[in-house]
Amino acid sequence: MSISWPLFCQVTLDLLAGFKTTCLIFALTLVLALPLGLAISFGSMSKFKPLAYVTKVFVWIIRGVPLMLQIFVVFYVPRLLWHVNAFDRFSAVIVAFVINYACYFSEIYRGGIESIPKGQYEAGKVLGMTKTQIFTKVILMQVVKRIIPPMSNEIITLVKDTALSRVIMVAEILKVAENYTARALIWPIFYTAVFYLAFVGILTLLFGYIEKKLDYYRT
Amino acid sequence: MPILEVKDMYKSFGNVHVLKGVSFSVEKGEVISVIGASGNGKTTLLRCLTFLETAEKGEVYVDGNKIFDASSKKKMSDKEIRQSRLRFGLVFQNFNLFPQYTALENVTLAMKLLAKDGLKDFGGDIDEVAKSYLERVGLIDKIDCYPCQLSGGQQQRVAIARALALNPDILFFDEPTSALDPLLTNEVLATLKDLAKENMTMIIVTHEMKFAKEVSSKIIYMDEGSIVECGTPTEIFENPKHPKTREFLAGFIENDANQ
Repeated sequence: MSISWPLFCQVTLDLLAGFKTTCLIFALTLVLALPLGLAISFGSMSKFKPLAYVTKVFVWIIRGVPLMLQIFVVFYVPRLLWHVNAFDRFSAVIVAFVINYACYFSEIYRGGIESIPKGQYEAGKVLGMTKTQIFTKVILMQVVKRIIPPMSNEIITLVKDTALSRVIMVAEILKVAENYTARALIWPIFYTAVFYLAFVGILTLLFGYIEKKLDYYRT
Repeated sequence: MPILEVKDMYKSFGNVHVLKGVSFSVEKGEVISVIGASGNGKTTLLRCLTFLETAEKGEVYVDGNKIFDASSKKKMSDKEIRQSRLRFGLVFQNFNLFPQYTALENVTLAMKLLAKDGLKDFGGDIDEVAKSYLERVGLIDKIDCYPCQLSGGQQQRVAIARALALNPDILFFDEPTSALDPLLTNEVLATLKDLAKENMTMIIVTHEMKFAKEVSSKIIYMDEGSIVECGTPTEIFENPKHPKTREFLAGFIENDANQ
């Protein structure tokens, strides 16, 4: 098998276009799921028991069902039940990813928040701080430090999970590469690994940097 | 008029009755040591006074103003609790400094928030005021250190400065030296002695009998959720009236003799 230079350039450009979609799914999911996950974690820790139960059942369902299936549900179910195109393909992927990742993030947040010693809250209280002030000024920074390692794991998984969006024909990088098999070209599929590895490599460096930045104190 | 008056305070956790009718009063400038074996309600008493726990029965007066009444039908709002709390400072056994902030920031954090919310006026630049408190506890050269860079004794002194800086009427100490080795204990006790000399009103829960005898104006001995005996250090240590007090103190004297 010989690879000509023009073909290689063409494949690279094609894959870059697909990689743009991959990055877009990644970025949108992260930006939306990080705050939503915090809200869900508050729900699951709520003192109002019905809300806590409903949230926990929701998290159980989302974490208990394959993400691929969730993409199908978001994309097809509104069409089948109500005959409406609630979401185009790309939006359906974003909706499914955001809900799925928010649930995973919520559990990481919950673990982080619950691991902060009670004394930190009590110290804030006796110093006359409000609950909101205690959370934003005292607790949150400590939670961030504690959840960086599990979060980076989850975020790296997200990079590769974006490939699932091809099940409803969203042209992310792996889908683009796969299309070349119709022209009897297999190597573009393997070539995608370079893009994933480069992306994850950058993320790994970034998380290492953040961890180091937060290393000035110990909890 | 006493600066603090506690009337008939009760608190239980489930079936465990931790406080069974505690009443006492504190005059301005007094240093009161609360002694007694662990698990007899000393810490719970301080936690009820600082609203970390809610007593089931009892009243608390500061300067003659009722700040807590368990029988009141109206639940206290967060804002009321917040304001009442500011009458008191509490220093914890485990310091509970905020690890992500420097010593100075630990002191200024609450000051700045309270000033912003209009609840306290610190009369001047908050950073400067905070530094003066850190200087008072002998840590002016450590203001930029994070808690993890400080010894236990230094951390506890930052915590004392942090509580003092809010200018409370009364400062409570919950076994302030129990997490420290003897050397660091002395360092913190010296700070407490300085505060006593400056007539700071303090209630100290402690197991340091020598210290309690030396600095206190009054000693309270607690057993099984009640105050068994209350008196001057001489009365309590030289001539305890109640058999339980005698028994408790005998344990300590034996201990001292063995060392």
